[in-house]
Amino acid sequence: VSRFVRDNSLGLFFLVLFLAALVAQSFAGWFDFNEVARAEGSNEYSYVRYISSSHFGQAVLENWQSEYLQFFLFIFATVWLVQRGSPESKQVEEAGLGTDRHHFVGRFATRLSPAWAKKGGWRTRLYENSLVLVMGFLFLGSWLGQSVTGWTEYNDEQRIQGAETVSWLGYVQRADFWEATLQNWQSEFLAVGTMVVFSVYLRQRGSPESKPVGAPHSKTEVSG
Amino acid sequence: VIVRGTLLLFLTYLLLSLAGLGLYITVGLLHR
Repeated sequence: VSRFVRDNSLGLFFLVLFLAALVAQSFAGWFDFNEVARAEGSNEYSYVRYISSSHFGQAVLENWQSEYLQFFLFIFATVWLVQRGSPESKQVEEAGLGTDRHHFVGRFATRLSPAWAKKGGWRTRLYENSLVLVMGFLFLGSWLGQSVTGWTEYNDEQRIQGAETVSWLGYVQRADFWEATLQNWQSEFLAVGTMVVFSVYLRQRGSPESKPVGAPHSKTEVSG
Repeated sequence: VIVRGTLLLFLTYLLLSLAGLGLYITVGLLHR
């Protein structure tokens, strides 16, 4: 195995899983779409037309937005909120942004610190929040994408039924949009909360998401 | 030291996400 693959197996593994699942989803969605189209007597789509449709776009993005929201909130919340006993949490008394010394920022930067961690000023401000900012941007972008593709889908249905179409602003106030949004949010919040609390008492030998098997339940912020 | 391949992986994820958003925001707006 090349050094690149060995050094990046986690990132590569999930990239391959993501692409495989996305392609599989596109075929399943395409078959389902055409089944419904046949039953309704409307036009069937080619594969290329389907993957460039709002139907597929909405199905993809409503799941993306909730994942990015999950990470955005988790990264942000764990700055100030703690869970005693969880390896996902900081020590209870360390809640907050921490010191420059702790973060190797400005004059505490080391030789190998990223350039913007050394610089100070707005560059360091931006860089020290870059993970949450990018996650937040991707969340808002995919949520916007879900809203416009969902809007298009919604209006297509309305037209088929001979009902009035709605504006984008009208659509984001409709139950259709919020049901698609909230059904994804609830599952993310449950999963994160479960992970945080389960990891207090349960272990996986060898995983950095877990505490060492023999670590006490009361021990916070150590990985195995 | 992080090698160039890791940066490539980082950019792959970033560009895939941005391309997905960009594509379907456009699709949603155009096909309406």
